[in-house]
Amino acid sequence: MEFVEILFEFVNVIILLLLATLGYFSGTILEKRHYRSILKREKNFLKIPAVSLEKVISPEMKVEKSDLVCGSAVISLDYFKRILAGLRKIFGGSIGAYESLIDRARREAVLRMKEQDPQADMIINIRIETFPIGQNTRRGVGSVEAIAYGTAIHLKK
Amino acid sequence: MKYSPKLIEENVNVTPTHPLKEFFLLLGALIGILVVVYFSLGAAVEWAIGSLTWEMEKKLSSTLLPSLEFLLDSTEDSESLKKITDELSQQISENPFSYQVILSDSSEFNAIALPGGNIVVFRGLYEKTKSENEIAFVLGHELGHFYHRDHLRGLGRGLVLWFLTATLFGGDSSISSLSSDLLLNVERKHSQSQETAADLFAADLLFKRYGHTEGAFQFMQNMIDQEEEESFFPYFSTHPQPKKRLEALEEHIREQGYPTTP
Repeated sequence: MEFVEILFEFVNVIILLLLATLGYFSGTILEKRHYRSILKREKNFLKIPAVSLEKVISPEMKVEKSDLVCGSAVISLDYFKRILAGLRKIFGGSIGAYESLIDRARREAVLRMKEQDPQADMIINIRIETFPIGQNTRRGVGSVEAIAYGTAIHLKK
Repeated sequence: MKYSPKLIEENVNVTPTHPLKEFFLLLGALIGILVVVYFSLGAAVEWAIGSLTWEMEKKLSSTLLPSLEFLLDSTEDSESLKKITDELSQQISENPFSYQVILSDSSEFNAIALPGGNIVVFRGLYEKTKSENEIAFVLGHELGHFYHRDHLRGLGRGLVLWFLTATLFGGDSSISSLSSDLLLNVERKHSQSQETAADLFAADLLFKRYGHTEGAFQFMQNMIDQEEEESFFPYFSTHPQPKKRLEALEEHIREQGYPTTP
């Protein structure tokens, strides 16, 4: 009877570990895949500069058309990262889990913003904002949203 | 100004750590700290118990357990329990404690020792005992806990460590419930050796007061019957299995040469 009791108590831990393992593997795979996609698309979009300058750079550049473009992305933490962030909260230091989360969300948002107008010559006055999504559970942020918006400029050729 | 696009390969915005390494490092550090705290708490608790005088304990218990007063009654049963307890405690050398025995109406099969010299016997147990010798064994067992200061130890480490994890992780998180479960298990092992020590103490008292230890075996049989009645029984979470206690008792009584019948 005693063994069953102990086993019962450890079921909680076992479930935690299973979820964490699942989260680790699926999260790592998804993250690597996402970063590959991001790098590929960033390479393609190198020709469209996205700058936070308010004005077009030089007076020779005549603007033919301008549009508001906006891209947003919501990325979620996996269970393993949640636990890792929880441990970090006790000891302090940079939380790599959140960092990669926000980085991916930001870059994805900028890419989607560019994808809204792939013919543009440049996107000026871009702003990027991030928000936590979902309730602040006891383990902190669940997912994060990033919005990138700016003015897509078509120059006279 | 000419714009020349450049792809930045290295990601400066993410700290380059391997998550698994980080995880095990932090987890190991946390567990290490908790282990150190646990053992130093254990040492601190032992020291505190040693320096706690009887007067201090009486004062503390009167503030911590004010509600016991209403349970005190002066029925014939509780009077006789008090009498038995007094006679037994006279057999203890160097005994500065004074005891109160409370007979609770609960039908639970249990008896507990609370700080301040309070013994609570539940009706569920009292009514199943068949002789004075047997109830004297129960009372002597509780007296053993007081003598060994077990009633203070139980509060010590487990509570503080649970409090620590609750502060760190939140009281309702799975980690703090896990730690309290783990601690309960470890504290249970402690309790089990304390219980056996209390059993042997009670056997000694029985012999000194009555000249025989029949009540010990009567009570053990009672418990074995009780165990067969119910399977998930809270009594057995903090007390060892009756068979183990019986074995330890039999061995001790045999060694000491106590008669087992009047």
